Amino acid sequence: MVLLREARTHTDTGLVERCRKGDSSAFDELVRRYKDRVYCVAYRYLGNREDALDVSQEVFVRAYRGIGSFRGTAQVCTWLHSITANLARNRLRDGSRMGRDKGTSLEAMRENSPGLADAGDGHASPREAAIAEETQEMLLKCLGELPEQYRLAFVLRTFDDLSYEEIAEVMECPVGTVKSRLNQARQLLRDQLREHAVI
Amino acid sequence: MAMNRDEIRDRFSSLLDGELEADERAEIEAVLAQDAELLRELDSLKRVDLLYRALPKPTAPEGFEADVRERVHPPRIALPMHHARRRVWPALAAAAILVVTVGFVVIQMQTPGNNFDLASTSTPAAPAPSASASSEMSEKVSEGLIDHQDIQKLESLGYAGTAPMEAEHKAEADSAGARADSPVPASAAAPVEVQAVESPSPLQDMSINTLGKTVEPESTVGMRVQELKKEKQTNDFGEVAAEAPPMPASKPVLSAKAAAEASVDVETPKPAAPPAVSRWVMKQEDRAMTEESALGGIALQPTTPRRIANRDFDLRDGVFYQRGYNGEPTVPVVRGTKTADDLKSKHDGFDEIFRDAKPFVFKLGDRWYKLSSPE
Repeated sequence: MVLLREARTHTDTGLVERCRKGDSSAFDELVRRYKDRVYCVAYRYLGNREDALDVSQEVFVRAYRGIGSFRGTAQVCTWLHSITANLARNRLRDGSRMGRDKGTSLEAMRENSPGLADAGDGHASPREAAIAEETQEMLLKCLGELPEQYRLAFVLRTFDDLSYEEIAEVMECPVGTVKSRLNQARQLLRDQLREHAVI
Repeated sequence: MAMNRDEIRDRFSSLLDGELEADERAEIEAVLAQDAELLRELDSLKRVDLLYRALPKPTAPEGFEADVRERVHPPRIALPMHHARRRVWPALAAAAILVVTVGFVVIQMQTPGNNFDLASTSTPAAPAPSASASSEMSEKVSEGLIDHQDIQKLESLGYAGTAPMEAEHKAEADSAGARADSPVPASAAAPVEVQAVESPSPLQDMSINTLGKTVEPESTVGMRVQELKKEKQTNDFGEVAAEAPPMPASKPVLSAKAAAEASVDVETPKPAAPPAVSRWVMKQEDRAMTEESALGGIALQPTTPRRIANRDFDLRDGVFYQRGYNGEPTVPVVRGTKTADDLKSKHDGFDEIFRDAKPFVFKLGDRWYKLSSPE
């Protein structure tokens, strides 16, 4: 516990340094700091809880193994998101090869997103709650139907608030490309949501 | 140059994210203020963004960290208990043996008066019996062919007046010394030809037939024998002292090992040299000899037995041994002491041995006693 408390006072770079020296508590702290962000990105990108869990855990395993090669020029979060993006893309391709539905069905979303049923502010009428749930399902479905590159840019920006530069770093592309992909992603989403009368 | 509508649309996302430069932002806002359609498009995009940002953010499930930790540091597979025992016990046994051995050696090295050290064991203090001569002597003795001359030579070198077992101890000591002094070449020893002579006269209680064989110089025999004798005499009453076992009359054979080591040079007895072997080694040899003697020892000719209290006693080396004695530990008892008187009073028929002057080794109950006169 003492080690953990001490680790929490360290910067990300300090934690990485300590990890390199074999301090397991530092790595635990890194996991604790970034697990939700990594999982959220993986989940929103993949649209599947199990895949998201597998991928996000694998992200930290890869990070641990590759911590010696982490240069430190990038932020830890972008480094982790880069790993997440690569692993998630691989997972999607593997899923495609296995004949898995590329998009996310509403049933699957409902199954994988128990929080959807609780959508709303908790004081909504059953009708309003149902509409809110339906809206969320549609949002996720439309997101799942975005092209991978657009989706990833949109997810990183919307759900993790990365800057364009950070997204560019994660996606290993110019910032202009990020702007373009984000713009395309939003326009596509808007068009689809209009089709479904969500907006 | 003013941006057209498509160029403005391309910057909507950046505008929403606050990623535009100030002048770019001002230019677009100026256009939007006059273009309601573009403004509605921007509003729709803003709404999309707000909808998605309003979605609940999933968090890593419980146990995520533990799972990662387990994958990063996989726990060792626990062996079943019986496998673990199999692995642990041999290691423990080996460790225990090592500790005991090292400890014993260290204690022996630190014992005052003990000459055991690496230097002494490696320094050739005196010519050692050659292996070949020892071997020949071994054969000679194992066949019961040592003659009286050999025995006399043994006596002249310090074996005289000692019990047969002590002679064996000396031989063992020399053997150990010879082994410790192994750097001494066999050629350094001057072999002496001993004539094969029929020898009717016994050496004290011993009578051994021999053939002539080659024997070699010997160095530390006498001194080691004296040391052994001193060790035996220092036992106090009440302590069980290891007693050199008598030679069973039914097995008049000198052990080959002991005999092989009893290679001595009659012509050139050497002054006592520092013992080249540790005491603990000697004691181990001592025990080994005791075991050997139980099976067969130096050839002895049994003397006229004495029968006391329905027990037969054989006289060997000036000591009357009750038959059946095979080197068991004895309790020393001195005549005239209270202990001796107690024994005498409790056991009828033993008056004779208490009156005698010679030492007696006898059994009472389940214990062996050695009764001797005060010095």
